[in-house]
Amino acid sequence: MEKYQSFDLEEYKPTLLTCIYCYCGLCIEGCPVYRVTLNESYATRGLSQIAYALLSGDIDLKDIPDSLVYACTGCRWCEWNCSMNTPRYIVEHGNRLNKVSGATITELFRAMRVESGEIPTQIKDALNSLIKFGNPYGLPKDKKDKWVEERGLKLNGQDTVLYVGALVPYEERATAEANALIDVLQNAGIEFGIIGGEELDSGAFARPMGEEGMFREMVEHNIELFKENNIKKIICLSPHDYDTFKSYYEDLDGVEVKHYTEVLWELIEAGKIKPVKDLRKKVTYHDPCYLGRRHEIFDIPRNILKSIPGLELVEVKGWTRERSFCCGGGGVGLFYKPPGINLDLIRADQLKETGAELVAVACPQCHQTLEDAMKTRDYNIEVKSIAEIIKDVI
Amino acid sequence: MSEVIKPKVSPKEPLEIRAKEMIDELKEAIGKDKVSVDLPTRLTHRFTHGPEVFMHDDLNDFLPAAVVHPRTVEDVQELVRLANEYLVPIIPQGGRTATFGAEGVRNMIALDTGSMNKILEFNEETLRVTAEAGVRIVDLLSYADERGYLVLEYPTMNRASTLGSRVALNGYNKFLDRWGPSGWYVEAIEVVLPYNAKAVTIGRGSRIPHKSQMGFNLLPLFFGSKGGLGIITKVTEKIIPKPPYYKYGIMAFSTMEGGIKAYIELRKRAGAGLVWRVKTYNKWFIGQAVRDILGQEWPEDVEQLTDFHILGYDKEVVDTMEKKAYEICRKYGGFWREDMPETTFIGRMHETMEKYMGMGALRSDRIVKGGRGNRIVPFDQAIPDARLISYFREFMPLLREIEDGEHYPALATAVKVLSPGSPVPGGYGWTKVWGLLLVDGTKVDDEVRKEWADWYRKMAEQVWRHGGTLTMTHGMMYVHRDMRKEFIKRELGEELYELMKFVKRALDPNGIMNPYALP
Repeated sequence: MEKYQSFDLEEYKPTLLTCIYCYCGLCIEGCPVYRVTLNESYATRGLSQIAYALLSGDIDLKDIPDSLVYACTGCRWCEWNCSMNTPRYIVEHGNRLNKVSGATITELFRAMRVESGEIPTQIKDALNSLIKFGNPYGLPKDKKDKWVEERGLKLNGQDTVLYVGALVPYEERATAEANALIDVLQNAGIEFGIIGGEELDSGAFARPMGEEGMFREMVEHNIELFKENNIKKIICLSPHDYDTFKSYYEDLDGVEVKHYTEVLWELIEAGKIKPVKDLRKKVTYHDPCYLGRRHEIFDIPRNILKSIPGLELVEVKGWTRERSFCCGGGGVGLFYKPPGINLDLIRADQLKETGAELVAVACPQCHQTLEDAMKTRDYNIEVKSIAEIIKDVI
Repeated sequence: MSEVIKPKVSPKEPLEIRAKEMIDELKEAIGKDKVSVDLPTRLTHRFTHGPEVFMHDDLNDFLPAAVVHPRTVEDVQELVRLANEYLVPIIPQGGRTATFGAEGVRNMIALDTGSMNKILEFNEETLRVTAEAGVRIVDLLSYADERGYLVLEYPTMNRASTLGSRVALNGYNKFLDRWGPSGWYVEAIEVVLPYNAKAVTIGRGSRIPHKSQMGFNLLPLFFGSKGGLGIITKVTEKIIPKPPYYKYGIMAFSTMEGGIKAYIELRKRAGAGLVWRVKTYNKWFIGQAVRDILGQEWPEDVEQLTDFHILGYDKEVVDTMEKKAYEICRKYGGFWREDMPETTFIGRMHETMEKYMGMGALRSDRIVKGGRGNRIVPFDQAIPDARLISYFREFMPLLREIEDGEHYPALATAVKVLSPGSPVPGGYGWTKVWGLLLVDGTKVDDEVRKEWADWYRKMAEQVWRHGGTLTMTHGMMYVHRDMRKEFIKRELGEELYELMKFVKRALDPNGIMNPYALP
């Protein structure tokens, strides 16, 4: 295994065989793509078979269709639920190489596709843009520098960085979330800076797109940046960046990484921000896969919401917390959706059933995916980030 | 009498060609989106949880020609009609977590019931639920639970298992001792018959009364039919109000005999409707599991554990039975200490399935450095309660032969014993010896298979000497599916075997249903 947990399919073989030998099928029931397609080849138990057959020469890469390679959003339901990830050694020392995970298998397929050059156009465009501009939208880096300057937050000696990720300031909703968060943090007197255009994607997009080489370069570049700037604390806007830093950035010793909801809750508990205005709405919280299942942060966002006067918090029946159903925005979901695999619409339906008027989110990818899904379904349900909700009530 | 569908091809034509022609026509008939011929989907439907895969060097022995995902009973009927016309057998598949019989077969058609997944009727007046065969048991359990009821269909693998399979296997359930196996609470099935592709409902469905003298009762014919006599498309089952009171208890014993005697006596209470489940575990099993999963040492003085589940509708009655259960255990030397290691991941395995199945990592590289895990292979001979202790005295030494490296040197490299058997009720007066082996599939070769079959023959002789059956639930484990006929005939006798074949030929004259259901 190379640095930052990079490896190829052959190295992953013992983990594939672990899944094939166990064959318990616990990964299938809650796999969102399985739930939509009812085809087990999309769930990890099927993906392991296919991957093993690829290694054995029983199938060629070209026989694995785009939908199978790219449908997985990396929600980690399978990884969380997998029997073979319960032994103590894996719980304590588990990593990308030894954990059974459909997300990893599909990332390996995607890496093989990148090597072969056979990538869907939408992903190719997003990748090229990431390489050239550090964001997937093809927009110039200096737009980020301008935004940082306008906010007066160019990193200049602060030891805390707000890591806004590759969507800001290019995507409207992510940018609104970032702006709201900045206002709240400043209101609380928190000192921090933002890197600006030099800040590359954490790798949270590169790896799921199969660009392992780019992933390693991005990690090394970002680590260097943090070291040069003596960064001691990173506050992440996106759970995807949060997860990437926590899971793969091996050389970030002594640097504290937090998701912004953790910081907001600390500030509320310390009395540095006070939700005082009423928000008399029925609200449901959509657990982002990379904050909830991946890092077991379930209660903090809920505590934040419950601290708001008048707010009534309701849960999605059956598909909440550890069982949260993926919105479909993870993996390559923002750029490429295999036809007929509409996780976003399923999730919108589940959220609607709660009777909530407002869906609170804590991830910019969930935010755009769910808001678009509500529009597609013509549901009159607002989707808003926790940062924006808090800004409105303090 | 409805006509048998006649083939329109010759059986001499190669199966591969017949299958291809059939698939083309099937796609036209039911829609291309319901027929998967892509290699990834076919690869996905090769195996099951069973060890048959270890008996073959070429895994493409299991590769079906297509996987069909019917959504309606009409789709299934069309499939059966064409299977008869083209003489291409069908292997019905559910969750594939049973351990035998549903593996794919080269050039045959796998039928995936997963798209027939609707709960159709939930009748609180008659206490019946009707659902399609592909409904996942966990979904059915949740559905009933939300409404205050318990579905008795409660296998260990409830999160992967599907309803139709439960009937096809006459499955084992958590509360079997109190409520019986699957067949006892199935009130009706809809089945597509192989000979004429008609869908018939057998049983009384959600109507009442339940018992009737009209004609023959053909419902039990399909319990345990393993996809060999027809395709089950709907099932009506009994439900019960969820008992509000549930007590779980466990005691330790310093002798195997003490734990087993407590187990046998506790089971007598099941008939009174109070103790719904009892099980007993040996330290050979528990010690390994606790050490490698929890990192704790097993107490030297504890040879056996026995646990029990008491459920009921009256708190006083449940509390009294709980006290009685502990008295029974103490009568046979049962005790408990607060420093005993935690074992509910085994005792309450229906709820903690991921931890239970995680034991496939025991005695493998996965526990030590996160490498490859093994396959858990259960074996489940059933023995009369009265002979259980004498059986274990003979069986334990035979089990040790697997690992000692002397009796079966090749087998010892590939197979380890995880559990010698955790006796669990197998019906009134019977016990299922639920043992577990760990198999390193990378080490299985012809020599291992030969020694495996040899060991199994010895085990079979022991079981039959004690009046038992080779398998209550999991099927014959250690012999290639082509060898199973020998064991079936030896256990059941030639006459009964021939009767079963007669019934199979009557219902399936063209031989289009799972050929390995009755070899």
